[in-house]
Amino acid sequence: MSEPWTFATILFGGISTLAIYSFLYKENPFYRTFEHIYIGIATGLGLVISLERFIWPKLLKPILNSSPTMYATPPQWIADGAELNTAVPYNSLYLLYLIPMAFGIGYYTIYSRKYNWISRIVISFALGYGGGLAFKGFFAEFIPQVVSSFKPLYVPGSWGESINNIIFVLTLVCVMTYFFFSFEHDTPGIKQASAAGRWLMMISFGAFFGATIMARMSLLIERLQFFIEQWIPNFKNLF
Amino acid sequence: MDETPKVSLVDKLMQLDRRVIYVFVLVALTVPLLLDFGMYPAKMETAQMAYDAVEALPVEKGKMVWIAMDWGPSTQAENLPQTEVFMEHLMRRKIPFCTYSIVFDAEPFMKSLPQSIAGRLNRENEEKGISYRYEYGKDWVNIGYRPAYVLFIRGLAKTQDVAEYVSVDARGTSIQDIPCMEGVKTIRDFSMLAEFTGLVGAFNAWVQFFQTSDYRPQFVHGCTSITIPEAFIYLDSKQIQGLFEGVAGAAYYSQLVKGDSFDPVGNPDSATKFMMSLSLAHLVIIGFIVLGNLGQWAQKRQERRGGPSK
Repeated sequence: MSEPWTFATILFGGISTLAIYSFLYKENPFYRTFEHIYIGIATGLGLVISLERFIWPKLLKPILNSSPTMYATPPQWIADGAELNTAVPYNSLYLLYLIPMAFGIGYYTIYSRKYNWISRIVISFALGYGGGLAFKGFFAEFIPQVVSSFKPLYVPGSWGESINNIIFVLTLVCVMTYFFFSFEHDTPGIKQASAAGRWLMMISFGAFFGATIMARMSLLIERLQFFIEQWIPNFKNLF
Repeated sequence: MDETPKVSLVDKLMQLDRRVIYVFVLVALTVPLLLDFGMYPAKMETAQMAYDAVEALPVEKGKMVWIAMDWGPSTQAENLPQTEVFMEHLMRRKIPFCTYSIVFDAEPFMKSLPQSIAGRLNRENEEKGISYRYEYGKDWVNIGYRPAYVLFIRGLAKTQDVAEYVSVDARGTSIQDIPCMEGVKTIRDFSMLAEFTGLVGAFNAWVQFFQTSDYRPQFVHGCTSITIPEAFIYLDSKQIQGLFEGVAGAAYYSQLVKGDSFDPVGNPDSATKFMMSLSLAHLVIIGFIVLGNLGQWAQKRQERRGGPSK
């Protein structure tokens, strides 16, 4: 038999899986219970890992200097060959970390009627920063795609590629026409292109739907494999 | 005497409980797994592109591959086989790699997956009498999970000293003490970025920010089946140089990596076994789609003729 802890983990994993899949039969308390357990575990784990991996080593530990490690070692000291795990004099510059920390904590004033105006400053900062990143990211991501959509309709020596490119350009034009809402789509040519755009999108939605089925089946296969290879053999060992 | 109304076959078909379909799909998925039977995967041009990109990578000190394992238990069914075969390929080519994730539930996989591949390859080496042993620190390093992913990725792309920027690995060891990180200074020292995820936002962040004005590493992406149609846009615009299309991509890549020793029938790996189940389930679903459409057609025909209708 496996170690008790591993055994319990596998057993609980199987019961959880059965509980979640029981929803396929009908809504039931067994499913609801495990759904809430899952949400609780996910939130708790996220919190613990954020504390362990970021808030403690990157923020609190340098400020408190509780155990001088490289976190408390100024970068220029490392560059000068300082030993990372030897004690170094406390660097008061780390106290500057308190400023962004206080700013971040300001988010939680959203729960206070009196001080929730502070949270608006934090939110506006987050919106501004998010907007700036999205703006830069948009160009980095989509400009290459716009450029690559200019394709030659005739590729010498390759009929296959030529046909591919023609289909691509026609699809692009038709779908863009469908989403052009500045005028009625009743002009000859525009009407047909718009209708074709709608049909072409339907085809792509079909592809998305097929892909979604494949993904969901894959998830189920993994769970079935877990049952066949781990859960059932462990369960048998129980008796 | 009570006369129960006759229910036609078409009506029965149209009133079929969805749970009956679930049972059929379940049986189709389970049987190949119980029989431990795999099948040869179909040729995937996108996986071939990823394989060729890895084959073209230089094997030199100070160059490594950055693997973003942005997946957890919810998409492990597809992302795990992809990451596994990709890591195996890198290890076989002796190209060191870093693992990192923007999702915290990838932590256990980042720790265990390379370790298990190394163990398997070490056993294989022992059998063949090869002295080389795959080890943590020499062949791979685990950076672990870091929050604020967009900022982290942007910072990583711009830093002039990766060791200082990343500071420690997931075990708390200083990056400067890790042999395979020696000489890795800037983004230019990452010859390839491999990103495995089911999260469109995670993939977009790497596309958008893991680059400088004059350098973008080779980019290979492993996606879940849902995002395959979307990933093709990036492949077409050459923003990625290779793609793992769900489990099917992993299965074909596995065939490429294993070469002559690939035996999906006698000794199937997880990806090929997955494919067998998946293919059978697809046949069942296609069958039900055809039946459903036939039922719809027959019902309308019956209604036109004035027969029983719902």
